[in-house]
Amino acid sequence: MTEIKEKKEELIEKPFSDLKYSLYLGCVIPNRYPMIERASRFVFDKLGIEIIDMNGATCCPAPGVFRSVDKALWLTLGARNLTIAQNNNTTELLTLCNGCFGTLHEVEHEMKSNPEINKRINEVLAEKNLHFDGSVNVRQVMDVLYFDIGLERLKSLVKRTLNLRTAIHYGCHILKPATTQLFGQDPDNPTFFDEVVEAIGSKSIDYREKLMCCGAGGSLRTGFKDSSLQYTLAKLREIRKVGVDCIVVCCPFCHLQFDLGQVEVSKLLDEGEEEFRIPVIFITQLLGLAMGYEPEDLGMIKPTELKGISPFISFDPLLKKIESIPLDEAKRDK
Amino acid sequence: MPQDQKLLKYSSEYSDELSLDDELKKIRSCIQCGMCSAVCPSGSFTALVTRKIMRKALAGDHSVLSGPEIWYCSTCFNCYERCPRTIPVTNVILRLRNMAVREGYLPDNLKSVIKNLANTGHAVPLGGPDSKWAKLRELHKLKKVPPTVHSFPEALDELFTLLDKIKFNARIPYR
Ligand code: SF4
Ligand code: SF4
Repeated sequence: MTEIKEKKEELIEKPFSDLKYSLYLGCVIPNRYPMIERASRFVFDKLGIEIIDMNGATCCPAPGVFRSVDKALWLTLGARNLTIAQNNNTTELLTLCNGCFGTLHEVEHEMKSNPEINKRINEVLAEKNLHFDGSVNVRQVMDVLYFDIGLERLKSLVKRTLNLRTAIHYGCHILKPATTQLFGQDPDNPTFFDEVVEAIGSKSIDYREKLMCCGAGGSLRTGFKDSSLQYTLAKLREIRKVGVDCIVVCCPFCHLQFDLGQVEVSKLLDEGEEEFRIPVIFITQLLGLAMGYEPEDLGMIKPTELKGISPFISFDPLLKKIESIPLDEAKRDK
Repeated sequence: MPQDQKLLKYSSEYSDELSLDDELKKIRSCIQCGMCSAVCPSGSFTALVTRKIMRKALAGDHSVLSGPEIWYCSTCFNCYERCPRTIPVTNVILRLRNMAVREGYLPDNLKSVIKNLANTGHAVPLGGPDSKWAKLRELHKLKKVPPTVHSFPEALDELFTLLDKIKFNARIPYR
């Protein structure tokens, strides 16, 4: 843990142009929520941070379904994905997903700390002349924002103080198991996400069950959707009580569960209970908006020509509010 | 303790070359305190009682594999963090699921996702360059097909070779 932290402090000093990541997309982002890919690529590009694609990457594989089904498969494909970042000559693999982070970070951990697993998996990979040499560190977007960019630099990037009331959802695999995670914070009392949101000029509103799981993971959504939606509904009801402009997430699967989930929970609502219409945005979208970029550059569009696509809950009320917020410079000039 | 013997026999019977059972063995120190169940969100909505799962697994009770309860876990890791005996409860459940799958107890809804991965490399595939998702990518000014295994046929071949190497299809014939 200390080792990781010391390394992080070194990284904070690096100028943006020295930061370089292999971008791991996973499945849900490129194939269902491309707005997250759009916003993230756009923001990193504007910051001058180098992003290298991981050509030929497969599913991480998803920790719920595949780790449940077959641990050998999970380790093999996870390690193969790590070798792509390694062969890109990058030490940092950036994921935008808690699930991909959970898988890849734990596979990294197993490969680095368990000689038996390392040997066996590398023997399998050798079939395709691949070898994981342990030179890759798996990173999550929140971890990169918090440590590599850092709160001070995040503050300095803000060109439009949004002052939005947000409900933050951390998700699970970014916090637990605590022994293998990066933030060095108590998983029952994490603050890094709140700190980032506040640094970029919005408010993190506390709500009951803030740290509760969204319900999507562990193949629960895939296997037993109604049970998984019970989690989501419980959280949405708490979020509605405190009143927010949007929900902010750092994981596409949580994103999907809250976005599409608001439509899906309709059938579970009490008699007369109002439907949910709370916009859900990804952390890089919030960052881009705070940096003064236009919503369409950050994937915040709803194409009318396509049916049944993300986002399922309209951004409109949020966009209307943001339209009325001037850039900080304009405010100062007045 | 005869219970221990049952557990050990039971697990080694199904353990494959690559899966080590050290985590499963740790449930021998379970004191049935119920902390895992108390912090389990799934327990509020489903029939999952983690403490009972541990007891059944320890007793080698077969219904722990054949029943649906182990599949109600959303892998939030609350129990893993809270168990006073530091049993990696979530990992134990995942391990039990591996064993259940070997016995043919795989929930139907998971089969299509496994097929997706084994055939396309993605659990959630794009659905081809003419799908609505590909069009949505274009509207977001992204490459129509992402630079993943979807864009590289040789990567898909690599995936198939590795799946064969670990005999995935022999264990789980869903390709
Ligand atoms: S919390 Fe740990 S010791 Fe207590 S019942 Fe659960 S597994 Fe057993
Ligand atoms: S990891 Fe699974 S069993 Fe453990 S508390 Fe979470 S939902 Fe319950």
